[in-house]
Amino acid sequence: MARIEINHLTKNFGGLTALDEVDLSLEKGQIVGLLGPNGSGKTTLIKILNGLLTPTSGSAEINGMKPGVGTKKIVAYLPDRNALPDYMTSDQLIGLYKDFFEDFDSDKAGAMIDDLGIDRKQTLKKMSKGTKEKLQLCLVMARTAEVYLLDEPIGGVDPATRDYILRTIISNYNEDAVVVISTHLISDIESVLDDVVFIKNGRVVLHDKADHIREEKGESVDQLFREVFKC
Amino acid sequence: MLGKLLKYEIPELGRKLAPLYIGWAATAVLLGLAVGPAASKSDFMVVLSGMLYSAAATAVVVMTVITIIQRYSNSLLGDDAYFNQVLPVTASEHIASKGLSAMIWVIVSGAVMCLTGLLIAIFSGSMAEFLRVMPDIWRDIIMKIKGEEWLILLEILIMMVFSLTKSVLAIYAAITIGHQAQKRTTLASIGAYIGVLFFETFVGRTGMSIFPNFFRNFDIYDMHKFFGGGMLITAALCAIYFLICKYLMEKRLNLA
Amino acid sequence: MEWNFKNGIPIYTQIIDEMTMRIASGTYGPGEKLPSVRDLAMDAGVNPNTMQRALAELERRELVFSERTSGRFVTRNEDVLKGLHEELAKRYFREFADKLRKIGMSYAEIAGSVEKWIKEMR
Repeated sequence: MARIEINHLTKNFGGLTALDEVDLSLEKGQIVGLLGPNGSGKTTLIKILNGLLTPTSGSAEINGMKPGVGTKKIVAYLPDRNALPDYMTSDQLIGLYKDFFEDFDSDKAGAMIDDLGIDRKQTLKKMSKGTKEKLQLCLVMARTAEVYLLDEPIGGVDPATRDYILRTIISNYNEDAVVVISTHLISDIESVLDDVVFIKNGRVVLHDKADHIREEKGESVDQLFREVFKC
Repeated sequence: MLGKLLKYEIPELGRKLAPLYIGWAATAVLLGLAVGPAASKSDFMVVLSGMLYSAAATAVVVMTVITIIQRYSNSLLGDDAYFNQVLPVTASEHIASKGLSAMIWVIVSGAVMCLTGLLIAIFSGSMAEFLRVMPDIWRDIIMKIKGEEWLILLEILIMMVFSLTKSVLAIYAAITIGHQAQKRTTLASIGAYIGVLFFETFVGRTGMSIFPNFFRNFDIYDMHKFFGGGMLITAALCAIYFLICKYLMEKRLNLA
Repeated sequence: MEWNFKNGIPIYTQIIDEMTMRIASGTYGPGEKLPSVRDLAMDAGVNPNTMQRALAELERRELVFSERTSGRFVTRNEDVLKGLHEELAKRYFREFADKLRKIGMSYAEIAGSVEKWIKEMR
């Protein structure tokens, strides 16, 4: 059974079609790039998998379950915005995660936060945007989840932070999990991807192994992306 | 999981309301001092502190309601929902945790009101008088109420808790319905709340028309009927509102 | 040491080349234990699966061998290492010769010039 199984998934917002008959099957043990320009439907897809949006038709399942309490236990989600209570400190956030997620490793999170040199007694409110994003990622990656859904984890951060984030993802995911990274900054993450999924106007236009693309087309995923999404 | 939600929710509401309570208490002290014998009996000070006190009281009432509304809409349907709604917690637990903490803080606000009264008494120097008179008043009350009237009092108390629950859930239901509109959710929520009020009036009217002779005698028996029926209807309304929230949150959630 | 990946070539091929180079140049000496897949992947900023695949290929070529519990090691086999040296040397020479042929030199001219150039470089 695939970790993530999406069948004929459609999502309309009023008259607008954000996702159009999407079929996608993702196995465990890989890092998948969900690639597309802004507004292509990446975030919509991730939100549906998290149960934050209700499909118009079709289905999205994780381990054979529709999004719900069962899937939320095994999905670690990094939203495209800060949703953590900003009056809390790192220590309090660790406690919060520990309270709600059985698979959360407090020691691991603490070590990662210390590595970043973040004062654990400082509230989120007083942190810079980049620090907040790194902290959020640490909390998410300190879970031993079966599915990681990371929405734009490298959007708007400096190159050093980006490298840190990618290393954090590589070093923390396990062979039993699938990591989905959505982004439009492909060249930055290309080297960490197993599979790439191109999404365009709400449709999956390509799903292939990254190395297979490079081998067959003799060009990088980034170059292929620029061709597929040429304006 | 409900316990864990409450562990965060109750202090969070308190964090927002505590400063207001302190402010209110301060105005009560001021008012007490202004009307007390030690003061120069300046009318201006009495009027000013009286106005301050009522302004603070109004602020606490308004802010309690606003905070309750905000805590629900922001954390379950707004930006914070991106964290809260991915917790492995059922919709029912979310709604219950918000509702319970809202009720607790409404009751605390009530208790703070009593406390401000006490503060006025203390600082106006009438505490001794108060303590002297209170036991008598208390004794009078206890003596006048007899037998079954105690039961009615209990019914009134339960009815108040039920109504409070219903009011909170009615607000939640209106917010959740309004959120379905995707755009202009605040406006839609207000519209939904007006709809809820109409619905409640309709339910009340219908109840009355089914039992036209409900208040014939105003005797104890009628009172029991009144409160009993009221509790039943209020409980039914609570259930309806709760289920509306739960259904929409589970099956029709669409975060912007 | 820095990892630099070029466009359009499978990353796993590039990892194999880089690791081969490191073994040939003695960065990882004969019999030396290699870092773990995860550490190598982190260092290179690549997917651990890709690193794993590349190391498996190096194993197939007998440049490295793994011991079930203790990890992966560079081969101690002199013949294999010598073969690797020769293979790399040939490959670099071919690249170099191809370029010179492109600018119109014959093999004879190349052979005649090499010694002179080396002297100049010194």
